[in-house]
Amino acid sequence: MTNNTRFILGKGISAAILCLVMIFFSNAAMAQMPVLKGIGGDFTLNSSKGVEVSLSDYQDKVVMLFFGYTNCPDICPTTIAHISQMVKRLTPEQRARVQVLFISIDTDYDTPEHLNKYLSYFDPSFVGLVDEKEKINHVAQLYHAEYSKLANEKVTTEFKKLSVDSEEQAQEGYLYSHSAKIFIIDTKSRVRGFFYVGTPIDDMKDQVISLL
Amino acid sequence: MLRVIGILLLPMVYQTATAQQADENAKDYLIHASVYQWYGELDSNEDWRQNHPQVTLDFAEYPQSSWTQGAHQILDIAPVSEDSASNNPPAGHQVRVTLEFYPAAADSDHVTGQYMQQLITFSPDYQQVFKVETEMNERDDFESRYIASADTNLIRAFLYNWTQGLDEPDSASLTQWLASDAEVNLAETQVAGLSDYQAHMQAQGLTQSRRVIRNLKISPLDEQQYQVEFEYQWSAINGDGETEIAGIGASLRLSVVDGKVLVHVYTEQYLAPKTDLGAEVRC
Repeated sequence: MTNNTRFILGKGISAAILCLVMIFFSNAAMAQMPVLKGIGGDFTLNSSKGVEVSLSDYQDKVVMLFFGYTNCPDICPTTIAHISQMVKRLTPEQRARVQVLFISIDTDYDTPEHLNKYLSYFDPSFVGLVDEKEKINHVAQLYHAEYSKLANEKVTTEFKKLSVDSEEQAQEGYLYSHSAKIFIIDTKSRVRGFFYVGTPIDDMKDQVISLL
Repeated sequence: MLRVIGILLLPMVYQTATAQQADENAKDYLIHASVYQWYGELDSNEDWRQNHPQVTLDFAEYPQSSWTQGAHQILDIAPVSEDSASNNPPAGHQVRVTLEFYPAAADSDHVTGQYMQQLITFSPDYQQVFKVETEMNERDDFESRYIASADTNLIRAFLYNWTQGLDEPDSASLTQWLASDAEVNLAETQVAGLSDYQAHMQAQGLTQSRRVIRNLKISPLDEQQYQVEFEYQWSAINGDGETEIAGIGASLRLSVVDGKVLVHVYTEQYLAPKTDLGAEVRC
């Protein structure tokens, strides 16, 4: 056996083993999502569509819920883009039964108009929610979605601020530390699990479809 | 080549972790309760003679082979597999227990322990101990601080029984453990108390309920009272065949009087799901 043949054979065996391992792990990951008790619940908040919205309005839909803020420099836009890519891979019928909700934790800055503009960049069907701080805190508590304002200092992300309103809103930028989970809520408003920005889109899609 | 070995090892690591989890889930709490109860009674006082009148002991751990106060610290409990081919119901069940025994010494806190393996034969319902045979008895070559274990063994026995009773509410009366003024708060806020818990499970169509005990911490408050904290990893199948899971934090205040555990406060609350912290909070 020549060195070349050995090399090709070795690569072939490695590839075969890698495939087997990937199948093994993908089967493990694809197990049916359990119902998570003790987390979640209904809520009603002002929405980017100009009306109040309740989670219960989306019964019979799978809801993908994310907590963030429009001035977030990294994880929010990355995650929303990730969700958007997944949603684009659904059929129109499936898409009609999936709703993305983005709850803003930045009640000082974000307004329904901000959220509407921000989310439109990703997918106009996404709904943004923002309300009084107490109401947002209550929802965050229901979902164990911890967040905290890091500092009131000017930060380098200020250029990212959306300016849909008057200049009166111009103020110093700041950062929030917040949960990066995408909460998956089934058609009976029960939390079934979490995705992250690192969750493969195909896995997300398959899991969401399995809940429809 | 190293990469190939690494790839081959990955599923083995994954399967080992899964197997450990499966072991924990498969732990028979009835057997564990009976073993801890036995050693708890044995270490408390001589009442074990009345509670287990048929028992035959070899007293191998005791000086002069005669019962005295001591502490059996249990290390491992392994049920002995039974002959499934036999048609006759077993006359008893055998359990192999690995433990460290410390004899109480009146004049010193430091004693020499013994590493032991004992084979216990229980009655078919695990309520009576028939026989205890010592299979291994090795004296330590170092001294250890004597820590009494009677109460903690009895508390662990109670916890396994209590948990079994929550998973199968019709199998045992949990109220037998409650003090007359006991306060009970379950995680499900709509369930008023233990008496409603069974009805709640039936109404939800929940079957195969399993509460796995994690992170148990027993802290003495005084000579008789203890604070007990732990977590339940709960799972069950609902009426639609879906798996429901929850993390539940449990907190108890209880007392151990004359070898009996009495619950004064039992409080549960749902815990936030545990996820990878690195993926949890971002800016």
